[in-house]
Amino acid sequence: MKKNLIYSLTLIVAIGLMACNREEKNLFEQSAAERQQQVRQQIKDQLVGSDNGWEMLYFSTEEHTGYAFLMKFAKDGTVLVAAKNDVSCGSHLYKTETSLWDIDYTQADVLTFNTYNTLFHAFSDPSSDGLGYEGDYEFVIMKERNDQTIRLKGKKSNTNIHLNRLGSEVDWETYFSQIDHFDWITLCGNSQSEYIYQGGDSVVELTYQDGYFTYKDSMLHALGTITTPTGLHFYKTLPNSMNVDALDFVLNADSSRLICVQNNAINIAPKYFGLDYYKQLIKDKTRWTVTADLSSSDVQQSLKTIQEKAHNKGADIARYTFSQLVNKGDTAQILLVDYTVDGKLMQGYLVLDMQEVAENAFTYSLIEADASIMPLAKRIGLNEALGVKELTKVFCDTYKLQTYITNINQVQLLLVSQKTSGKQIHLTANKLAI
Amino acid sequence: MKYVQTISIFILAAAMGLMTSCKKEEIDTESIFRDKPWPDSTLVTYAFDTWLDAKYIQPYNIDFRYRLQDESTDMEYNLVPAGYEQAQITAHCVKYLWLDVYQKQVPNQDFLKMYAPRIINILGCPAINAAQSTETLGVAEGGYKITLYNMNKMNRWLPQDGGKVNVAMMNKYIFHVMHHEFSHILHQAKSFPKEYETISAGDYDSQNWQYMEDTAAYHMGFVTPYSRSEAHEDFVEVISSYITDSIGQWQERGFYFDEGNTHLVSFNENQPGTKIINQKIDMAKKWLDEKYGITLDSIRAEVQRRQAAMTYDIVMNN
Repeated sequence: MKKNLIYSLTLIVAIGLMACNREEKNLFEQSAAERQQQVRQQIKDQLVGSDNGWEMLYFSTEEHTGYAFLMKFAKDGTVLVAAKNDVSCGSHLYKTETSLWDIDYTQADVLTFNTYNTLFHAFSDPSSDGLGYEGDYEFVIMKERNDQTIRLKGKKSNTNIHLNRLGSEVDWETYFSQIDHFDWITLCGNSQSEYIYQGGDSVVELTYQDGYFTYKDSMLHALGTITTPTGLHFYKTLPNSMNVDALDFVLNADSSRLICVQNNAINIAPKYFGLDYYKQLIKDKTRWTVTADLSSSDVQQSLKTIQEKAHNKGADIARYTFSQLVNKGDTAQILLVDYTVDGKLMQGYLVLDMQEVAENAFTYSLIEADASIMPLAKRIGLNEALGVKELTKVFCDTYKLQTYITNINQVQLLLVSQKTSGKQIHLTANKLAI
Repeated sequence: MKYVQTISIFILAAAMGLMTSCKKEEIDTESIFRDKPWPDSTLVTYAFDTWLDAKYIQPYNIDFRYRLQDESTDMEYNLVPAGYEQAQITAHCVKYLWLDVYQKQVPNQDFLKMYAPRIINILGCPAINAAQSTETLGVAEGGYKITLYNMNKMNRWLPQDGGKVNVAMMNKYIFHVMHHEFSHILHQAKSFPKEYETISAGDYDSQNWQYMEDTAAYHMGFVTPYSRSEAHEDFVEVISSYITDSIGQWQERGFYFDEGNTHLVSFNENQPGTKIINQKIDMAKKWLDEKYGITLDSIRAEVQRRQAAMTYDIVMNN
């Protein structure tokens, strides 16, 4: 009892001393409100400070196609927004629009686009179903902030959005044209095609879905993707990414693969190329069409002679294609010929055997001539057998395969003869036409 | 033991009091929500903000919020802000067809300053609840804040090129909502007429009103299906419909006005609801006059006159 009383008295003395100490200093020089305001001002100054504005890599949700916006923040509270996508612009046309912006503060610093901008708020407009694209227009400013990049988080959807300072040399409209160009030479029209994502020892198979990618482990995942002028920006890092944020990919020099910016050991390449690709497309019922004009002159001359002989006997050849017969083995391919006899449309084919002889090299040899080719064959030769021989002379050969346009939208290949110097057959496959 | 503890707590409290009294702390008067004095002359919105200051804040202490504010984000709905041009049309329109009407027709010049909502918040799109397939036309929070939706349609409802003015849509999304919510504020400030509750007592149905057809509601003596939800809603629906709805809109409901232009007559003589609606209108008129000195018929006449005259230029120059 007495002891406790003593403690209490000691406490009183101590507190009394503290209470009379008038030298107390603030931990911070400024008040909380002043400090918050200062941070907000810094962010504003940074945004306004980029003379050519910012690139916003925007995802409305993390699992779909995202889009790039260009934005110029001005001191007078306006922001100029530029876009070129169907959702914002209603068509694929470059458009700009001005609206208002601010840095708000309630629980965190928030970049807000607080009056309507047709281009930007198109992703937030609930439209008639109350949902729309469910995108954000208010973004919490994350701590990871440097001169070049500001990371944002959508206030409602929590999506990660990047703001990258735009170099002064970038022309805004050209920026979007470059996106179109990149898309055209790589992914455009290439839906459902497969790619290999390689990070270290492990691989992930990606499937392109008209604007974004999917991959499977125990379940199917969708990976939000934005096409940029130089490559792709992913919403998140794929598994097996060697512990880096592997989000940005650029096309390499020979356009054969996409290399990760954050770690160039990681890359994405088409699953099939070279001969595999040729075979895969044939398997997919793609028809490789012979483009006579772009083939070597000897091939052009042979085809011209065949056409003349046929024409003299009332037949005309429309096109030659390499393809595959339904229900036959992978190696049993055909040379399909579209032709007319006395104006009547016909199709005939030669069954070919494909034997691989070296890397990206193979030999086509005749297995049999189908009856369907005979009406043509007997018009280009003295008899059917000789006619068939005329055709096989041109097309049955040992070839080395060269891919020279990797745009899978319209692939172009060269079959370079390994026997006759200078002989080349040019092929075109339009994957859209499958 | 217990005794000592109690004492020490007491002494501690006293010591703390002493400590506080020794400090010279001042409350920081800077608001953390406004960076600078407002209106801010460095902003592109300065002219409009100055206009709002002169027409809303100075006379009525009303904050017309056209820039979507951080705390306004509604997690239940997907919403977008109103466009800047649309906001300006809306602000002028609300002044023309709401503020100016009360200011002109109500004798008490402090009336709006005393009772008008403190905040008018506007949003660009309708508030659609996809799951329940309902649309919220407007929201009033505790009588101090009214939120208006779908304001990005304003330039279509009040076209600058002199095209047809769509008063019905403006009434639906702005003025019906505002008179409705404002009437709530008024009946909450001064006692609600108890006898009003008896008129349709037994016919109210807070659960199933939304499933009722319009004509069935009129038949029962309600001006809208929503009136049926409960007596207070009924009361404010009567007032707002009476003020805002044009003769054409009443005709669509099957009514016209009598010669004195103060009571409804039904085209169908056997419509039992007409008498009830007129009784409600009379009671609302009497109550507004007694409590606030408001003549409902003169508010209605002024609104109808302004609605009929309204063009983009008239609204934007007022």
